[in-house]
Amino acid sequence: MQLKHKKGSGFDLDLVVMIALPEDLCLKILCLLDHPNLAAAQQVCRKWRVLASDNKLWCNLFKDRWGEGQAAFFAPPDDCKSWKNVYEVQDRCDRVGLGLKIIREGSDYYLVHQGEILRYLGSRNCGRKRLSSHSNTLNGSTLDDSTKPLLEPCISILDKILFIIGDLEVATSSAKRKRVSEPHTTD
Amino acid sequence: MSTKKITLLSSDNELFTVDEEAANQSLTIKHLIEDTEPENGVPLPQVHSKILAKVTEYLIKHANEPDNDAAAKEELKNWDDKFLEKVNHETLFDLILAANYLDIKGLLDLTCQTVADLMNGMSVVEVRKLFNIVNDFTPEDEAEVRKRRKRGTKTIGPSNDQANQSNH
Repeated sequence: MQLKHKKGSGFDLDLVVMIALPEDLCLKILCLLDHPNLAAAQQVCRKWRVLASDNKLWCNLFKDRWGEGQAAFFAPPDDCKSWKNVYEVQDRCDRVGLGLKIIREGSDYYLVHQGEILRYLGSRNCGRKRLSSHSNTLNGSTLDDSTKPLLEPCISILDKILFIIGDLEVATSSAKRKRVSEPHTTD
Repeated sequence: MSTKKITLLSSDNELFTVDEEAANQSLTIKHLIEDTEPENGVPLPQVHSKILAKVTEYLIKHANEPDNDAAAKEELKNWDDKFLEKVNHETLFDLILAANYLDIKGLLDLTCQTVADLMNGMSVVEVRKLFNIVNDFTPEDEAEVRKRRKRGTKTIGPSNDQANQSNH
């Protein structure tokens, strides 16, 4: 916020220079980043969030990591999903496996299945003011160490975990059904 | 012909002389020479002498790029690394702008890669500081992001799945 006030004074040369850096050059730099750095770049400002979500950028990242063949197989359908989304799902599969699991990303707990988030379960620091919102989703360790889990939110998470056990059942059975019915659905 | 000299004129009216071969690596300069045949140097009103000095240093070094001499390539790569080693961030960004304006692909790639390397492992706050970007996310934006994450990437679809099932 300090910089904002400085803007009018005119002698903050750096700021002038950086405002002049056009979007295509920002994008060129973002193209050279890997997944965690790109995820961080999305939280820099509004403009960068749009730039760093660029479909082509995530498509290339996907190809670099899993190869062209996988990319062709997992290519998102035209409108409903982005490459960023496909990448995140695939990354989660690599990290936690395909099965139904409860995972923690940063300080948030999710129920995931085949890399996709089925449900948000709760947060370690819920009820407290978030520090830098989701800047900790990927390399969460930095924030987690400083914010010890409070007893209260943990209880609410437990409540939720109990509450969604029924959903787990539904999710697994629907997954099984899908697997069985897959050969028939191709026609 | 090959030793023809080209004079470049910076925004603060400083003159730089380079071989035509070196200057031609900049497509902007090349086209300016072809189109306007300037007599008193190629005017580059967007580039300050401080930056143009660096740019010409790069152009001269890269004038005769080795094709398949591995050792020479290695040497050139080491030179590139050193070239930007002592450069401060402000100059680095100015070089990106200059390389973009002058259309020097090699220099643009090199400077962008250097910035990307700088960003490696940086926190969001550090990146903002490096680029002098003000965090313009409003509390509403953050609430929106949080809401979207809570919604998840996929909705449990017993309704959908069951609908499909009944169709079969």
